[in-house]
Amino acid sequence: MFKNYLKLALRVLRRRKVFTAISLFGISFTLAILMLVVSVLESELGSNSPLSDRDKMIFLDRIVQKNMQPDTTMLLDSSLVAGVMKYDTTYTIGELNRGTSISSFNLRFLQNHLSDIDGVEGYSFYSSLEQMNSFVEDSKIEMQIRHTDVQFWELFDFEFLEGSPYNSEQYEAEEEVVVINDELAQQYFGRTRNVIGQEIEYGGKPHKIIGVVPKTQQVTLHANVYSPSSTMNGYPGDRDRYSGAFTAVYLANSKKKRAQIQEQLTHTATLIPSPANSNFNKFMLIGKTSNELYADQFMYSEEPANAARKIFGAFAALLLLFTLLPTLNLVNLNVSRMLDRSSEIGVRKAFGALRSDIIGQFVFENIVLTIIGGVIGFLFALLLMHLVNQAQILGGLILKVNLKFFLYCIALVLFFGVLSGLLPAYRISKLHIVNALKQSQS
Amino acid sequence: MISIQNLSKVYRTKTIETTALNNINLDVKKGEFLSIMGPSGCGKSTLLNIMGLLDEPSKGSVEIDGQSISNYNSKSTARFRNQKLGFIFQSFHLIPDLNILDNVELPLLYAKVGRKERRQRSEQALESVGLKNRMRHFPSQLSGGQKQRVAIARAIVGKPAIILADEPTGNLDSAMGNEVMEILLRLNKVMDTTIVMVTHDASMAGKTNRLVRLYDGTQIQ
Repeated sequence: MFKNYLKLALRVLRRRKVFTAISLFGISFTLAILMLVVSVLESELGSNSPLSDRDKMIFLDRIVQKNMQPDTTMLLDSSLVAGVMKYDTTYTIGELNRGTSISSFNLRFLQNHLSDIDGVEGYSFYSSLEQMNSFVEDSKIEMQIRHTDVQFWELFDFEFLEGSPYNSEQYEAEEEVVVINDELAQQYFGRTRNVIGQEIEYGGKPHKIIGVVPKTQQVTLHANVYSPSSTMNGYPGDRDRYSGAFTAVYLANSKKKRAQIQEQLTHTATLIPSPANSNFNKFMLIGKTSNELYADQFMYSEEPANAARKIFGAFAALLLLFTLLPTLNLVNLNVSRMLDRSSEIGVRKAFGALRSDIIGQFVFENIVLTIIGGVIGFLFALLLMHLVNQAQILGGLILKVNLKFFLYCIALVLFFGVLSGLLPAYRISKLHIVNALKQSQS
Repeated sequence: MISIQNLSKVYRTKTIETTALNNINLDVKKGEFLSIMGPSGCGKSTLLNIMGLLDEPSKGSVEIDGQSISNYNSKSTARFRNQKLGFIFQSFHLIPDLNILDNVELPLLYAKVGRKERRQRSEQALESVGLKNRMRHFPSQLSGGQKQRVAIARAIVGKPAIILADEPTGNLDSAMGNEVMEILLRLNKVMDTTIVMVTHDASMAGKTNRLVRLYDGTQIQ
């Protein structure tokens, strides 16, 4: 049956060259744009190295500190309460936030308060980026440095181009060793390989290179230089300060456990004592999933799940809109194409075709058309991705083709094919046989 | 073979009601070759469409091969058409994008007949109408008479008990019309197939066993 449909579909496409060309242009252009969007989303939000375990991670990047005071304080010399006279009484009514501080964490605070979380398979504390400059043959190289612990390399699966990360001994011994990315290696040494054992200089000190990793797409993990946080100036930070430049990440056994860790963080926040010389007396620890952390770049909220829902909802709505508009266009084209074949539909029904047969046939034909358009669109998408990568218009995001992207594209093509074929096929299948037969003749 | 009782068909729009068939009673025996004649618009094709389960009556009953089809749902109707009925249309209604063999195979495709058997039976049907040598051709490469012979092959390939032909010679010159009529007569005689044919041509109608005349939706003979 399907071989028959395939033969028919290809012949119809060959016979109606103008229609086929218009349809294929529309389909391939639409799919190319959608594939490009999928590629961006996959690069940004996919479980790719070094964030292969992103679905099991909780990020804690901010502490919210509040100074909560009574809203109203009343001092009464004397008052009659329930028939009893009271003297010099202070009443407080309500609670008012008189100041909020939102910041990343002090490393010492993380080590003291947030390193003992139940149900956690692993955790790491790493800093935000620190800007440093280095000079090579009179030219300035700007570097972004991230200070990390040893566990950082266990939680995030960077693919080392050469060398290896720093180990516990090197960390404890505060050795000035670093892992650099290939972008810096290229800038500094003019090559991306054979730089292990070389030194780079910043902050007035030489640092020995022990590993090279590819430039990561993940904004939260990107750096030119990764150095042990034990070598930072003032490590591990002021005992009485909670604010700093560090983020914590926790790895759960499973997605389910992630929720428990979040609950635990909320509970831990209630146990945090007020720091010395500070009015802050109430704290919030808001754990975020990797997607919530991503959404946080666009919309900060004390309820990151809500913010993520809004951001990803907006993404989905836009994607749906961009899919629906060309789909509706193709639906219209398909309706007129199918109506042209109403005589065929009448004959098929007269000789025993069910409505489901007619729907199946025309959806199948449309999928054939969409697959051809999909192949053209895929090639066009590859070209667009190459241009985007060359021009670096997405903030250095490098779009890659991998199996997952390829599978997404196949799913997209099938979805588009079924969606744009189903409605006209359904409509055409309802044609009354006698009316259908009155149409065109062979 | 076909029993029609008190059959009426009325077409209604918001403003107009048109009676296409009015209280028709008709019995067609097994192996009979019946022709239906009448002026244009008298309801011949409507009657044939109702006999072929392509349309529904407004009133009355239709019984085919001993089965009342009034309670059939669309799935059962489609299956019944596929197994019991064959159609020949005035304008052939071949599918232009399929070759002759694939066109003839069509009823067997929906009868879920296997590929090999489908091919074999279609070739036999084409041979019986003298077109086996044209089976790889497309409809556009055939003459009108040849197209109608292909349509006959398609109608008989499923070995239906009844063939319903709506002016099968209407678009053909007299020589080709006679050729097609000869095939239908042979089918009726050799295979004992019941045939109901709508025609304008009295000479063609004269070759059949019985003639029914309609006028303004009413049976007058």
